[in-house]
Amino acid sequence: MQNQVKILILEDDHYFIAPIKYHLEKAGYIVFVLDILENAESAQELVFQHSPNIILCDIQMRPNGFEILRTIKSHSQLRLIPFIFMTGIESLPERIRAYLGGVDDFIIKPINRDEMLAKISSIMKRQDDLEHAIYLDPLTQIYNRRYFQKELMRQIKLHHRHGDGFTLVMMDLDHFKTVNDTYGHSCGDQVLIAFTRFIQNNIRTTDILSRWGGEEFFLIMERSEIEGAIKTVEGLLNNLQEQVKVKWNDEEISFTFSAGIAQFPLHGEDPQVLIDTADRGLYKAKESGRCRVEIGTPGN
Amino acid sequence: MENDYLNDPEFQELIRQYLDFLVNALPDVKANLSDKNFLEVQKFGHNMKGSGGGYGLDEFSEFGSQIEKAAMVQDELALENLIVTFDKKLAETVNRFAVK
Repeated sequence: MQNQVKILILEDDHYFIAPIKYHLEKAGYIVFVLDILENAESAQELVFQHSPNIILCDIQMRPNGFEILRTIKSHSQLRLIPFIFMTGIESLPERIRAYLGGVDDFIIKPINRDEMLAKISSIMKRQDDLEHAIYLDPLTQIYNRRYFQKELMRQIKLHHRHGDGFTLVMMDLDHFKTVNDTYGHSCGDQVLIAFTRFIQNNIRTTDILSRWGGEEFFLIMERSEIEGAIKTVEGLLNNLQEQVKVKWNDEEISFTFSAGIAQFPLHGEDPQVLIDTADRGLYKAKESGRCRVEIGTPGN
Repeated sequence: MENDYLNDPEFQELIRQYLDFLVNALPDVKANLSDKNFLEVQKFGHNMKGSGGGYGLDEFSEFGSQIEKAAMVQDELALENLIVTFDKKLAETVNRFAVK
C-alpha cells in the first residue's frame, strides 16, 4: 500500500538528528523533522497534518515523549501509526511504561545506522501487511469502506486548516444485478475488477477510489471544483464504454455506471451529509436514464 | 557493516558542522565544571553519548557516556581528566575531517 514511506521525527537536538535524517533519506524515506513543539496536543495536530507512516520520537524532549505518545495513541486515526522511541534510557520500568503506552519499539542511542534501517524496514513491512488487511478490498485491491471513511474525515479536517475543498463522487455500476444473474457472480467479479482498474488508471494519483460495498464506489477528488469533477466523470463515462470489455466465455461484456456528485464545503461539512448528497445525485442519474452524472442536492 | 557513508562529502560536511558545535561548546563545559554545575556537564555528556555514534564517531559516544556518569556522581577529578583527553581527541578529529 505504501508509496514512498514518510517518517516523522520528533526531536529537539539538531546535532543528534542530522545524521539520522541523512541515513533515512539515503535509504529512500521522506523525512520530516519537528524540533519545536508547544505541547503534546500540537504534536498530535502536526502528526495529523503530515500523515506519516511511522513516527520516531525522542523521550527526553519538551514536551516529554510519553506525553506525545499518549496523545497520538488516543487519537482514533493516528493510533495505528507505528511509534518508535529513540532513547538513551535503558531502565526497565521506563521501557515497560512505554510498551504499555503503545510504543512499538525502541531505537537505542547512540544509533547504529544498519540496525535502525533494518528495524524501520521490518516495522513498515508488518505495517503494510496490516494496512492491506484493514484497508483494502480483497477483490478489487482498491481501498475499502473503512479507509474511505477515515480519508473523508481527514479531508474535512485538512479543509479546516488549509481551506482546500474536494469533490465526492458516488458511482454505481448500471444493471450489475443483470450481469450477475446472466453470467454468474464470477463474471460480476471480473466486471468489478475491470471497472476499478479503469477508474484507477484514469484519475489523478491524489484522487482516492474506494469500494463502498457491492457495485458502489466512492471517489474523493482532492482540491477539485464541481465543474472540473463533472468533466472528469463524463470523460470516464465515455471512455469506459469504448475502452473496457470483459471477455466471458465467447462474449464481450461492456458496462456503464451512473454517478452522483457532492462538493465540500458547498453541499455541507458533515461527512454523512456529503455522502447522502452524492447518493441523491446518483439516484437522480439512475432515474434520468443511467450512464450519466448528476449533482446531488443537500437535504431530504 | 561498513561505514561507507563516512566517505560521502555530504556526510563529511555534517561531521564538520557537528565538530564545530563541539569545539564551541567545550569552553562552556569547562566553565560549568569550574562552577561545579554538574547538571549541565551531565547534559553535555548525555547528548554527546547519543549523537556521536550517529556520525560514525563511536569514541565520542563513549566519552559522552563517561562524562555523563562522572558528572552524575560529581567526580570532579575524573571529569577534568576526561575533558582534557576529549579536547585532544576533538582536535585530532577536526584535523582529520578538515577540508584539504
